[in-house]
Amino acid sequence: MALKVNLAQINGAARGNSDLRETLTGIHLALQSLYAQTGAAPLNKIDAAPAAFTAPPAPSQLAVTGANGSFSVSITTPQKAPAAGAAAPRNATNAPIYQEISSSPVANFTSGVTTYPVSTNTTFILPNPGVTLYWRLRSSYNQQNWTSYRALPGAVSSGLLSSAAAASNISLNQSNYATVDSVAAGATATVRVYGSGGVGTSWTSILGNGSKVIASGTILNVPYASNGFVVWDGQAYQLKPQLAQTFPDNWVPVGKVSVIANASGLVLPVIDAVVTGGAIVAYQIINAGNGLTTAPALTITDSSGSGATATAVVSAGSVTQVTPGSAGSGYSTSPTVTASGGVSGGAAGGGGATGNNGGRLYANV
Amino acid sequence: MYSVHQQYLDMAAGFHVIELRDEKGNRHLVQLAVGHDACPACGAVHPKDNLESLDPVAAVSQISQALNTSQQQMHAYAAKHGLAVK
Repeated sequence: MALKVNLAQINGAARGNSDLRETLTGIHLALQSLYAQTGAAPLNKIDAAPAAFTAPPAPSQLAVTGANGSFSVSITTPQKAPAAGAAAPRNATNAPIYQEISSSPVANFTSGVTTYPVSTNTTFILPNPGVTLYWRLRSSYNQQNWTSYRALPGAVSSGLLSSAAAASNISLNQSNYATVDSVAAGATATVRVYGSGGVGTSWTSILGNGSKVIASGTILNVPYASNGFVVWDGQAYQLKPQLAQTFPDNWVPVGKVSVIANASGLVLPVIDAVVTGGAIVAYQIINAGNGLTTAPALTITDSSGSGATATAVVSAGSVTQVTPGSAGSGYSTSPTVTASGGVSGGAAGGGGATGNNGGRLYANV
Repeated sequence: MYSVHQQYLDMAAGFHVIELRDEKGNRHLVQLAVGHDACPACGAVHPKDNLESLDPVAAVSQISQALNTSQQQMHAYAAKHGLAVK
């Protein structure tokens, strides 16, 4: 409708305020003059039927915690009953309140802002491992008129995703470039962990899009005939007879090593036979040997005799006893007792040890 | 040249850990197994029965010598061909 204002209405609106009346009257007369000169129609009122203004709700409370690579968001909406002495209006009708959460890596939300979908939910689990974010919230009844943003005072870290919190069989895509092997060192073996540059060089572990360089290592005093899993615990290597299906998140699996005796570590026993009347009645251990993991086979040869058998008993890598079997007959005074074997997982004189790299880690398998 | 940077006894793992470092910060760990996992359930570490015969000084000396010999050979190669060592 056309805007029609006369001087009587201006006088009524001014209510005795002469300054206001003169100002409005001046504007009115100027407009009348402008209309007369241009022939333009008076202004029309745009807000002829203004929509009702829906005030935003009282602020909701935001709480965010981080753990295991996820943010847990909790929103507390205004209660139905008014709080005693509270000046802020309450959600008296208990109407649904739309919440808009947003986060940013900077406290003033000037960059990197992520706005999450508007919802009336009050709890959210937002997976986002390894980041630290600031959080803010605004609320509305109609998604048009919002409260001002209310930001948490400090940043929240989501923490790293632990294997225990990961889904089963999630591939962490880990690659190791370590060589794990073992060499004989007298009565025990030495396990070595090293990189592509050879013994004594560091190696690289790659996990996801990150990598770390880990020092080489030498593990001494490892028993022969033992299987071990080598892991890096962040400070040093650990050699475990077996690995649990889940282990601490900071551990890096390095590889498996099977330690078997090799030629330099294995010392076969030296045994003499005691002959009486052409039969072998006893055995004398001249050298008990070293690095034995199983009883060596004993073969008795002689220029004239035959039929004698014997069995060696091994304890702690050495022969502690030879048990005579058949005494045989016709033996000379110096038959030859030959020991062979004595190791499991490899023949005497065979390759020293093997190591391999897992290359791929599955958590919670 | 590698030399002993620090050493300690890791009771949880059962290792005498000796960390060697050279002048460029390269690390090499010498770990002397002095215990073994005796209990598969709780992982309790029990001492090995040959502790009396272990000589950590000799072990460190032997490994350091090997590392330094290797390093000297690499440096000699670099010097021969005029290469910078990083």
